Amino acid sequence: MKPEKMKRKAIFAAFLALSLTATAQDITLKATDRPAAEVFRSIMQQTDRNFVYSSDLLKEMRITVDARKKPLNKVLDEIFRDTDIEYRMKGKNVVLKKKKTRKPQKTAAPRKVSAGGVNLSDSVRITMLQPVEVVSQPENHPLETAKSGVNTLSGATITRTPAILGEPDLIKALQILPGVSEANAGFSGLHVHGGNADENMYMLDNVPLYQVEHFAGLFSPFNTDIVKYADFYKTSVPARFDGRLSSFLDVHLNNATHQDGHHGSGRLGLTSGAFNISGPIGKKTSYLVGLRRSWYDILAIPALAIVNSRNKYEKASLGYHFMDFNARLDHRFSDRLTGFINAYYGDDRLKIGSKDKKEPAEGYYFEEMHKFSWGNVLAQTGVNYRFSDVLSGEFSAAYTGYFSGMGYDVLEKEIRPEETMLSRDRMWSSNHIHAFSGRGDFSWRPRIGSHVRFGASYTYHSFLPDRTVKENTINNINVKTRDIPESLGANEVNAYVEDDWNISDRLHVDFGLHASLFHIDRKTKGGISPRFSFSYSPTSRVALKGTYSHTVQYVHRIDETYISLPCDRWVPTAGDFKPMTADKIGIGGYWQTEDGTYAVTLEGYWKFMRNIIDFREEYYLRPQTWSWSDRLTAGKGSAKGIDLMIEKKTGRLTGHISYSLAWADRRFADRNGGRTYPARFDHRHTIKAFVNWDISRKVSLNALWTGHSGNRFTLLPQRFENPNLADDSFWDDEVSLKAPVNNYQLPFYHRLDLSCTVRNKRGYWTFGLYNAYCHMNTIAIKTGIKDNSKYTQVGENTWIIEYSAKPVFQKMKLIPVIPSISYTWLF
Amino acid sequence: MAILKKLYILVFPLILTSCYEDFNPKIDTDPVLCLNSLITAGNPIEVRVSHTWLYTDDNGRNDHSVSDARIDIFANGELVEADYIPQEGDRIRIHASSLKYGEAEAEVTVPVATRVSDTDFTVKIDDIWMLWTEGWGLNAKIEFGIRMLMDLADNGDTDDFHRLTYQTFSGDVIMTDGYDSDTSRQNYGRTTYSSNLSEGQFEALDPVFYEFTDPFEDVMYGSYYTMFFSDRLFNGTAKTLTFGFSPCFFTLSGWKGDPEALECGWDIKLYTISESYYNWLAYSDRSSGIIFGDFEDFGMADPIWGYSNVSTGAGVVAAQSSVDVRVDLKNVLKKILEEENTDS
Repeated sequence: MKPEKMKRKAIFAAFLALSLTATAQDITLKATDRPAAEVFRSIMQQTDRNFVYSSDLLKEMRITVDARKKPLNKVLDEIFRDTDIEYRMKGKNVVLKKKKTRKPQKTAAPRKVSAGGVNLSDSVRITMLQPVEVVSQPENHPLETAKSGVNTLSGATITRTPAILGEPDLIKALQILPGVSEANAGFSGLHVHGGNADENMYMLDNVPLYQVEHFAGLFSPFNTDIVKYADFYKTSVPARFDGRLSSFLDVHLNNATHQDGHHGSGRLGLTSGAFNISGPIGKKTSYLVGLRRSWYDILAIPALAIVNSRNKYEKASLGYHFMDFNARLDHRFSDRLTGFINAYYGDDRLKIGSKDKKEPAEGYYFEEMHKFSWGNVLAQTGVNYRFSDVLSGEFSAAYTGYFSGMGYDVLEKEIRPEETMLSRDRMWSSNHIHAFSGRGDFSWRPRIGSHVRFGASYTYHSFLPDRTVKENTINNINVKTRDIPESLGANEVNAYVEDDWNISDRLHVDFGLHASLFHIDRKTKGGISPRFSFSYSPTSRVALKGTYSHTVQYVHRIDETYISLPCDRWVPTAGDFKPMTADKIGIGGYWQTEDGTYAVTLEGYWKFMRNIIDFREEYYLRPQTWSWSDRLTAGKGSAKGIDLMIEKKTGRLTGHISYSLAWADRRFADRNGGRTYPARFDHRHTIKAFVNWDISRKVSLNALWTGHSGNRFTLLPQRFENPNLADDSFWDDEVSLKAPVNNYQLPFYHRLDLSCTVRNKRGYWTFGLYNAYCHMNTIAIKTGIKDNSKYTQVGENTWIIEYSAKPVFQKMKLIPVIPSISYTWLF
Repeated sequence: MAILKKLYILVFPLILTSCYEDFNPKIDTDPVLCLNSLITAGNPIEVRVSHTWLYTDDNGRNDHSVSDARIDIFANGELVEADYIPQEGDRIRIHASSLKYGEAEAEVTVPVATRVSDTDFTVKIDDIWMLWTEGWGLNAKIEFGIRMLMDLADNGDTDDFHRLTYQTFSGDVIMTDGYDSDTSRQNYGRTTYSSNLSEGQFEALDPVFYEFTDPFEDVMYGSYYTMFFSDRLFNGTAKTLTFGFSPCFFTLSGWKGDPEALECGWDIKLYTISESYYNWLAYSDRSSGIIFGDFEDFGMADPIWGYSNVSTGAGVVAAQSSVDVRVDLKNVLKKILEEENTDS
């Protein structure tokens, strides 16, 4: 036998042995006429396997099975025996497809394709022509869950969403959902059902991340190439989550399931690239590594070279990049015990500086460097243990940290023959959170249709809202002009219990309780958060839903701008401030056609927020050195609205169209004279249309049209005479007069984004057009001067100029059409 | 500002693709009265009454006077005459009314000046150049740095706000040996000399000068400080305010020993200002910064309005009192010159 052939046989044998070992897992299952997806969830819970299938494969399929401690493959054989569906084990995936009734069509040369980061081998290539659904966690199908306003996005779905500069982005994919608004055009912040951007909890495998914005918010830190799926809760909130008022996003990474080799992808885009690889280490261990980095710093090199070549004396330097690094290790100790280590590091770094090209033997020399950095660090380890067929638990310890810093170092030298005079100014301002946590989460399925979760956690937080150190050194004499750290430690304890209970085919309820204590500054604050959701289905195609949730938030971000900057600060609820709370009530309905092709979702909500924190009016008049709490005020807000969504779920043409009617307002004692005012993102009408068209096996087209009422804006139309109080005043002769907050609504916002994916043997190209019809949307109102001067030529070189200028209001319009291209290589 | 120019490389595409469209927003506005006044202890009160105008209204911009304004001034609750001289501690209320623009009112307390109990300074010579010419006298140039220490007796009961100003004084030029253009006469046989003090750069060596410095603005602009500050960092305690100037140059020409020629130094004025004055200075500082200047222009930050303590939101009624401190270098310079002359 040739060595190559032997090697292949050996690999095959190892794979077969592994598959047999895996399929030999015993499970216990009892179900009578239950939806297939529900039964699969129970299997997944017991085996940690994923089910991969075309989304229209299991429509209306119901299962009756009774198995006690039987091998998985036997149970699956039983389930699919008299159906037209066959299954196949691929690593940790159970791939389902229709049984072949005719000869398969000739296909292109073998290749590997990916859905949601899960690589599928040749045998399932045919099913890839249809949308593939990777079911890894309880599927949130509206007919099968009591929850409402819940979405699960697979990695493939995220990749399909058009995005600015061709960067597939999880948060921008969420922005296409009804009830979710983007912070600023093109930026990645979220405003969910009238909430603020810091009221969303972003979690990476259940560990919170604070900084979720790269490049001032243009991109989020989630490397979509390794995102398996993400659960997004915007109305019903399971009791296991708390700590934010508006929404919860739990992002799960691919947990390196490939037992058939090392796989991954590499992506090259205009502004960044990504690489990830995953595979087995021995028989029981698997790994995943992902790296994404921008290369703006490299793109800036030619521009800098031109600038520097034109300046004889000074050399400028400029560098900006962001990066994300993910690593995960999974190990199976036994059928009952698995362990994992998960790590993430992401940051943005900006360096700007200049220095004299030569340091003279005598004379003046200057150099300066300004630095900014901000990001997250996360490290987590834990074990999953299956106590029995129905009870399992996860125990983990984690560290998550947020940091931001900015500063400068300015050096001046006066070089003389006898001595050198040296002056150095240095400043560094930092803000950070360190959080160390330990938690235990249990999952108990006392019977088919009931899923009880309970658990508890403890977190120690260390907050440093601001520390600025400023030093002047003149000829070795050092003067520290500022160093006022203000740090706070806090202890947080959480406990929860919830039951997702399908009482019958028609009635589902999900209820639970989350309790929390937050001890800071010698004060203990607490919150009890009840949650309740129900769904009643009068027919098999209709569900009527209702939900109530109470949420509590102990930390908040204070930022002076609408984009993410290192000067944004995360601060705890301390001093006289109370924890922010929200009560949300939602009612709605879901209807789908008999074959599940079309679906309509209607949802209404009311949200009442209390003790929400914002800057008090004219906070900027108070020095930074005063306590940050002196600059804040507490108030309340409310939001209400209706979200309507019509979806086409199957076929070559899929997508949805949604309409939202919404109101959001705020009221603070120290803002707007204590009067209620509309929130900046009070979008009365929002329409979104998303279409995914698989034109052929190789080409698919995506389009997203977004239109909404303009943002609210504080327009200051009047002026008053400058008091000219300072002797050295050089300010304008006029000053803006105060006006009600958010008194003006910007024009209707709309844009169309397009993207096209073209697949080949080794990967796929993605072409994108952001704002395809180049509608420059108004993002602010400015005041300006319009030059109306008249120029009259009266001679060959003689002109008469009648100077005239008129002050005008101007709409500031930004972001035209932006084309993009990227290539993703799969291996 | 240098850093901003370099940042344009990064934001250049954004700036390049932005555009503006003129328009008239439909928004209701009513002009209101504006009151501006800076009340100084020991001086008569001046009040300027005007009205607000729509930004696009050229007529309002050119003429915002109020012809029918009536102004009443109250000191410590009593109506006073227009020639009333306010004193430290007076509570002054100004009320203005107009048939067309309505009423406006503001109140301010004239602050009690913070005493300067002692002032000291040290001079560090960096370089001296001297030339003695028989018959002409001494020509000299001294480069030095000076560090000043002012002991403030802070009143701990109240929040106090301050503003520091300075200017140099020197013996100037006495040109008596030559043609005097003022008198059109030629002068002979008298002492001729000139002296001048170049103040150098202010060195903000005390944390109070950085009290208002926003770290982000600081990084974007490079190191900056403000000449106004509160007593929050030293409230109720004795405070020695430290600042300096460097490099300073004292030049002397044709000196024959007259001590008056060496009379030079700094006149320092420490104002104790009302909170409304401080707030106005704070507003002026922030409104010209990065966040409320550049970011606001791009719609990335909320616009801010001018600070006002007037009931209509237009204008500022502020008050101040002050103490003067003179730092005279005459004796120090004389000693330096004598020692240097002896050495040479």
